[in-house]
Order: sequence, then C-alpha cells, then structure tokens
Amino acid sequence: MRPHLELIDVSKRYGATAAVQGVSLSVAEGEFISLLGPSGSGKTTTLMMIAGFESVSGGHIRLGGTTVEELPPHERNIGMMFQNYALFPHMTVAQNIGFPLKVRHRPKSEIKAAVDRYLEMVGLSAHAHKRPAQLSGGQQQRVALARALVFEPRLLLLDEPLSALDKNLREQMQQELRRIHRQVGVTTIYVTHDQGEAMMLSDRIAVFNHGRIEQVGRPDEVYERPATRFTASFIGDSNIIAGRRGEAADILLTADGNALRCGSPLADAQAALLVRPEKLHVGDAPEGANRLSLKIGGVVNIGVAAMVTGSAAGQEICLRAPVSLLPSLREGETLPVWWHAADGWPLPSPQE
Amino acid sequence: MSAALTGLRPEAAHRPRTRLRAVPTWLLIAPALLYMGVVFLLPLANTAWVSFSDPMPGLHNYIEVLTTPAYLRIYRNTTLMALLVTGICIVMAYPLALYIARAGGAVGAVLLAATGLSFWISFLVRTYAWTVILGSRGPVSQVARWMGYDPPPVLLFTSAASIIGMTHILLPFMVLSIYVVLARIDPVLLRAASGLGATRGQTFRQVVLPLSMPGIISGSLLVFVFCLGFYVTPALIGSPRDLMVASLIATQIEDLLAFGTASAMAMLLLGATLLMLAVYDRALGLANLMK
Repeated sequence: MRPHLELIDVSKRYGATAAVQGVSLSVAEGEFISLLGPSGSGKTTTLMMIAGFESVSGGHIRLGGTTVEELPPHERNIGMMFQNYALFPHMTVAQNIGFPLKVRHRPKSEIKAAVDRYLEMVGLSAHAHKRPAQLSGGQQQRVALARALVFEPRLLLLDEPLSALDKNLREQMQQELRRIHRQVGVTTIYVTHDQGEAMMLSDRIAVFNHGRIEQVGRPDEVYERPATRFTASFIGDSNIIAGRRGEAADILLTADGNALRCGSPLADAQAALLVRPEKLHVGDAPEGANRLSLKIGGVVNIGVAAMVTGSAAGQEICLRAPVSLLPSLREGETLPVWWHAADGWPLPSPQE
Repeated sequence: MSAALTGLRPEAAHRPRTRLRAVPTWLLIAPALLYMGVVFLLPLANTAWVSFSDPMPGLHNYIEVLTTPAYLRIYRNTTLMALLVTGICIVMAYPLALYIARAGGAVGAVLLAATGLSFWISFLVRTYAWTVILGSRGPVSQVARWMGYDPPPVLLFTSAASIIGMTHILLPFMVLSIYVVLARIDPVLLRAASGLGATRGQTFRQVVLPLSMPGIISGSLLVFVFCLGFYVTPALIGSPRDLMVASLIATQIEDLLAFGTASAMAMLLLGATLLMLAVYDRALGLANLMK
C-alpha cells in the first residue's frame, strides 16, 4: 500500500544552522505516529513544514500521492491543533468549530449538523454558545480538537497539545484522544517531548535528535530494541554499560574486567549494552546470567518498589528492588545483582 | 526591624528614626482633585448656571438654540464634519496600523515613533502650515494650475480645508488606538485560521477585523468627540460661512456678548459628547478603554 504521507529527505535551514536535516518518514493511512524528542530536536519544525507554516529548504512532502510543499496552508486540507489551542476569542464554541466549514462556503444546514456532531463527540454540546474564555483548559482543548477534525482533513497534526494541562486532566485527555482517533480514523501526527505519552498513544514513534530521526518503530521496538544510545536513554529509564567487544561478538568487556553476555552480537568494537532497571534482579544469579556487585549509593521507597541507585562496573546503575528488601539495603554496602543475558541489548559506539 | 537585628546593633535601635507613616490615600489624590474642582468643575457649574439664568431665569436660551434654524444647521454641519473626519481617519489609519503591527521590530518602531512624533509639534503650527499649503500660492494651487485649471481652485477657507486639517491632526490618535488592539492579537490565531482553510481575505474579515473592532470604536470615539468641539483648525483654515459649533460659541461671546446663549450651546455640545460616551459604554464598556 502506498504511504498516505511521505517526507522525502526533508530539511530546514535558518541561515547557517540546520533545524531539520534529511528527514524521511512514511506514514500509512489511519496511523497515529508520534514525533518524539527533546526541545530543539526539529520535531516541531517538521510538523510546521507539513502544515505549511514553515517553508521547506530541501526535499519533498507528499500527501495522498501529491506533492504539497509548494501549497499555502489553507490549500493543504490539514487539521492542526496548536499548543495553546488558538481558539478565536470573539466566536462562540459553535462558531469556532464551524469556522473551517464556513470558510469553505458549505451550506448553513450542513455546518450546523457537522458542528452538532463534533460537539457531541467531544462532549461539549451543552457549551455550544459559550465563549472560549468561559471554558476550562480541558474544554478549550476539546473545542480545538473538534475544530481541527470537523472538516474531515486528510491529516491531523497535534503540537504538544497536552503540555499545558495538569497530570490528571492530561491522562484523561490521552484516553479521549485514543478514543476519538479510533472513532474518526484520521491519520495523526503527534509532537511531544513526553516519552510516556508517545508510548501510550502511538502506533509508531519517530525519535528526533539534533534535527534527524534516530529511529522509527513501534513503542515496544524503540523501548526494547533502541538503535542508538540516544534512543535508549531518552525513552524510559536505562542502564547503559560501556566497554569493548570481546573475542566472542556477544561478550562485552568492561573496563574493570567484567565479561557480560548480550542477547545478540555487538556491532562495534567500542560498544555498550542496555539493561532496563526492571530487568535487574537482586540476589544469587542462576547459571549463565550476568552478574555485578552494586555499591549502593541511595535507596528511595516509591511505594511499589525500592528505587536503588549505585555504581557497578564503573557505571551509574539503577534498579527496582522489592520493598521487602528495604531493611537490608544500606548506603555504601554492596548488593549482588544479575540479569538474563537475553535482557541485555547491544548498543552501537557513541556517535559524534 | 527584627529583634535579632536590633539586638546586634543596639545603638541603631535607640536612635530615633524618621519613618514614613502611611499617608491616607485621600491626601495623595487631594491636590489633583482640588485642581480639577477649581479649574474644571466650578467653571462648568458656572456655565450650566449661566445657561439657565442669563439674562433671566428659565429655559429660553435652550429654546432659542433649538428653534433657530441657523444654529441647528451648524450643529448638523458639525456632526457631519465630525463623522466625515472620523470615517476618513478609519480608512487611512487602519492599513497603517495593520502594517506597523505586522512589521514589528525596527520598522514597526520607526513607524510608530513617526506617528507619535506629530504629537510633539503644536497643532497650531501644523494648522498654520496648511494655510500655506492650501493658500492661493501654495503647492496645491500650483499643481492645479499646471494641470490646466485656471484660475486654480483654492481650498483655504473652505470646509474641505477644515476636514483636511482636522484629519491631519487627529489621524495619529486613530492609528495608535487601532495599533494597540492589533498588536495584542495573537499571531497564532492567524496561523490557525490559515491552517483551518481560510484565505488571507477570509482571515482578515472573520478574525482580524472583528478582533480589532474595539480599537476602531475607541479611536472613532476619540476623533469624533475631538471634532465636535474643534475650534482652532476650523476657525483658522475653515469656511467662515460653514461655522462649527465651537466657532459659533466664540462668536456669541466675543461679538454678541450673549453669554446665556453661548452657555446653552456649550451645554448642548457637552450633552452630545456624553451621549456618545454612553452609547460607547453600552456597546463595549468604558472600562475597556482603560486597559
């Protein structure tokens, strides 16, 4: 199947500085994809180029098989929800939602029917005649979402839409976004710097760093099999143990002489392995497992587990130990930790 | 001062210190209130009193003004002139205000300063400048003569000259009123409109223009009220036959010594101005003007 949206070697330069460098991405019809990265990584610039608010310095953007990078925003038929909602303060909720249809000269009866339908979808039928200023942040958000969807756009773009909401509301809106995406089925590009949010919402995640895409994959792929050290450390908590490749390609030798086995062969001579904190166990290791002794630096009870930080093999290591072990965990003491060789994921040598 | 600190420096604690007592608010605003009362409210009260009592008590001054066709014509003429000047100011000021607001940065700052610069030059000076420009040997007449009009039309001492002069003096008020509102419009709204499918024209008509209405209205109010009572410019360069209310009042006092009639005319002008403010208040709320 042809991709619905294609970015082909897209770049954006501001004078001498490159904000986006050679980004290529294919998005299938109906897919929900997140652009995830720290601020300044080029994800928002990429979104703005798709929307048409930023020009493209190089490369092409194709939507539904046609090139769109030369079209002005209002001819692209793309729905966008802005970070601060950008509702029109002089219009009622219903007028805001009807705006995209009004500027397309649709008949009044059709506009009213569509506005009613989308008001109901976002649960704001009772607020149709209020002004945006009379609504809460979460309600304004829903209006912005309804307004971005009402004209059945070819693409829905969301620019950190939940970042202004408090935690409870944010989680509620995440559920809502999933429900509405399933219901409407519109291809969605979601920009966020919150890896948890990206994991929860997306079919696939594109990880951005320094204006490039480091990796594109399903949430479980980027979490369990990160392609780069950046992806490994940006998504989830991580223990990255650096060293060099041993005689056997799946053995990592650390500076202090530990030989650690990986789940698959190391690609580079200067390599590292990734173990997620939840894969580390405390106690006596079974046959064939990797083991280290951890010098405990700090212990924090977070309720469901004890967060233990410390150092082993010259690296900062963190893990989650059962709360029952709390009385025996003291700072400065050593703790035997182990993990199955299959849980160690090889990482390439550091870039730069 | 905390006890610990005074304990460290006992000599400071014993020294009598002059400390500013809380001055009651009424005392702080008293000078301004007193001044306004003496130079503004008292004369106004006096004018009101004269309008009802000179030369004899009663409403006859008002009846005279409101039943004399010549006076009514002047009131109507004044209102029409004020409306015309307001309209011209809106049409001329809006594009400039929009340009300044969009340009921002150095270009916007320079244009804004240039607009404000006209406040620095006495409007008397600027009015006299028009007597030269519009006079029979001025550049306007020269151009007209060059274009084949002989004798060339002379604009000086016509209502057109009044309108040109007043527009010139009041235009910056309109530009600044509209600019202030336009500059506050979040540019993201324009992006959003464009992203949702609006052309530039639709974005202007449905987003920018409605959001800038408060600026247009407050600017219009300012210009219109100024025009109603404008004296110097129409008196110096306007038509002696088409008087405006302020000139009429001056004539009543200086030439006819009809203080009662003049006071009634002034009170009616004040009434008209207050009526305008009331209409504005109903439409938008005067409090918004202060923001």
